[in-house]
Amino acid sequence: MLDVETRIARLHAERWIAHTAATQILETLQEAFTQRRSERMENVLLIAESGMGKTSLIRKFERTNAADVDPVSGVGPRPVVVMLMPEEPNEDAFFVQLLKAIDAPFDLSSRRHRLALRETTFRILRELDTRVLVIDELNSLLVGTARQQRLFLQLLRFISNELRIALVCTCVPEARRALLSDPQLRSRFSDLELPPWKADAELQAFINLLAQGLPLRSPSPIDSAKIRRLLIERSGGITLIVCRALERAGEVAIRNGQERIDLASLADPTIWRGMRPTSTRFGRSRSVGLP
Amino acid sequence: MPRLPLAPPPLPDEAISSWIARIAARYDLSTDALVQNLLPNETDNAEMARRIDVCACKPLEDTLAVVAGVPIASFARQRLAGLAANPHTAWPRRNPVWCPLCAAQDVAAFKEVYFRQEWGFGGYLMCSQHRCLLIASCPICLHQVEHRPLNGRLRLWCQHCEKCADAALPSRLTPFWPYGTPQQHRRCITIRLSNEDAVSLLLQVQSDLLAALDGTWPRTAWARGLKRHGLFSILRALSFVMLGPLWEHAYRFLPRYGGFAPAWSLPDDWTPGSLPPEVAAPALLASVTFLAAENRVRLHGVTWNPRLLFPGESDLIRAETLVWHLSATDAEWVRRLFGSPVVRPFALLLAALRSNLCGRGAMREGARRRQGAGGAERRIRESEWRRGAETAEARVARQRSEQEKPPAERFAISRFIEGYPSSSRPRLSRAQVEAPFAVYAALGLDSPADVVPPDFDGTLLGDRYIRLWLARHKHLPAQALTATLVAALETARSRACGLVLPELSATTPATPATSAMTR
Repeated sequence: MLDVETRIARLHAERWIAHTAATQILETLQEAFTQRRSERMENVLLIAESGMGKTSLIRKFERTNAADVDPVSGVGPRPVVVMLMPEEPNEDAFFVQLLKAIDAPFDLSSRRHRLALRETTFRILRELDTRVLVIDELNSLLVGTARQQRLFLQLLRFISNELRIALVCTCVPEARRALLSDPQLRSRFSDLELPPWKADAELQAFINLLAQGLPLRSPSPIDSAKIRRLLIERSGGITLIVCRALERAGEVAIRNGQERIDLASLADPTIWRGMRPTSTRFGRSRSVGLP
Repeated sequence: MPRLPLAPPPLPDEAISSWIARIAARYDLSTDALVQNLLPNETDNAEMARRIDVCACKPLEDTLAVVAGVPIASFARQRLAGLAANPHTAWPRRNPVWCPLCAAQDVAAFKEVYFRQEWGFGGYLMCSQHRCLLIASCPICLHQVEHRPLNGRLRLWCQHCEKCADAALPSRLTPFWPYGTPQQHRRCITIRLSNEDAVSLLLQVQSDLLAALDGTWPRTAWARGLKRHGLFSILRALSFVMLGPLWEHAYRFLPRYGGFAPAWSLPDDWTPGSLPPEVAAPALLASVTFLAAENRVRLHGVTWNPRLLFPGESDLIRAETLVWHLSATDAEWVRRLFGSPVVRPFALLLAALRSNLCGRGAMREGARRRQGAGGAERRIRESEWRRGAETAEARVARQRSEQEKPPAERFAISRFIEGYPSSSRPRLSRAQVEAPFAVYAALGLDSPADVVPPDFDGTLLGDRYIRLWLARHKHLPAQALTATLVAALETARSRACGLVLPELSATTPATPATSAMTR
């Protein structure tokens, strides 16, 4: 029997739960991964509210397509490279971030030419046989001026053409308009949406799986419409908040010996402390269509 | 620290520094930048990267093992055994050298160059596979070459030619040294090994040295006379002596004492490894040939400076070449060196030094030092002096007489060599030169028999003044000479003044005492 602290540590561990929407998105991403290299690659724009699990999804995609190191040539192929968008749409910052993402050392002091960093990065990506470049948090694009944004979108298009790799960008719905303002780029991106949860059977399946994964000793009676409504009302349908609420409830259940989560424990306002659905975003994301 | 995405494994005979440079090149970085990236918290990164071929650097090796996925035990295999010791016993190289043919092959095979472990050892001067001298400069323009990551691969880049220097074949030009000095300023004789014998000798020597690094004592002839632990230090000192004229620059910055230059001193950290191969090779070959001559083994086929050799023997270095080459300070150096207990007594050289300290080279050297000028300055001054002092005909005559002088008469040491062509002058028999011996015997000064050459002409005996006097009067009978000498010595002793020997004429004895004795 594990003691309380170990179980709580295990409760907070990261887990991957394959719900329907995520599986569909992963399939689309895999499609982008397996497409033939060409001048015009099919790119994916993944749009979801903050906290919907975009990053976990992408990490899952990266893990699925990981490759082993070739001991003869010493090349550790990276078919999928996941990078974080720098805080500003700036070319140099972008390439530094990209080199960091593939664990490559770089030296900013000895750069001879402005393009040296770019050429080095391109060559390394070619040698690593990269097929998909994932840019997380593309919404940082929005902090730049219009000119900076335009330059950066141009850069994205250039990377895709030059390296013949597919781009997968994730962003919050606000960034979609900025990204798709470039007509050439718009025609190459297919956008996918990970919508917030609704109080339906999918949410039920998701929280069932989630509760089963928790290290509780007795089964949790959470299969009810009331609980679904409660969760949606309090979380606004954001995955992160739902998960955190269930984890907190689970921790409470372990500590007080109840060993299960039920409506009463979920309704307790203390487990929802600090978590609030952003009401402005809720509802608006549906009204935003393609420009 | 995560594994680097591109980290080629080390090649079997590759040096560690070369391997690090190749990894760094994958990211278009220099070695220093990569090491700085890997160990951001260490302070002596550059030093560590420089010394990793020679000694173990724990933090760097640990990090490299993780980052490149290589077992830690493999580092010891990548390092040349024995180089870790101090530079007196082993010669780590400072500047990179490479075999032009190996580099060209590597570029064809791997699209990049890599450095062999042996190239880091200062005694390795010739590629054993291609049998050509290693080079340390661009084979086309003879300028210095740097490592540069080019398109993700490590290449040798010549900034002067603005292209890669590794694909070029060895040049027909002979580089001069120090690099960048114009031809008229160069002070060093470089070597071109055309002779097959010389090549095999150098290969033999360097494989012996590599074996000695590893702890195996060479069994070849040249090393026979040396004590075990003296091999590297003797060769180091001898090569330094061979390069004597090279150190003129260093010499000019030294303080002077009473107008005389202090003896050159061998810096502690100097090794033949700090020379480019085409300069180190003749020095090493000359040293080895000399050692072999000392062991009465003749090694044929070494091209050295042809000016210093005799006609007909243009491809041979011998002990006398060294003596010829030596200046007074170098001679002092050699005497000190060979007087040390670790070496077998170098009777040959010591005898030569005792008998004839002033070779032509030494005189020139002495003049140079007195005038305090070196190199071009001195040459200009000398030529001006000559032009003023002698007419054109006289100069031609002098040059011709220098050239036409029979080899045997150039300097005395040649007589010690067995089988050496004898002097053109008729040999003197022992009976003909009896007189000086008798004089010495009478004076109780026994002549040193071991240094008397077969064609003794009286120049090797004792005090220079007495010696010259005896040589001038050797046709006179022994008693007369002895009596005169004894009288002069007694006079000198009684008056407490210098010895004055009278001039005796051939036919009429000058003093009655001697004439009485002859009668």
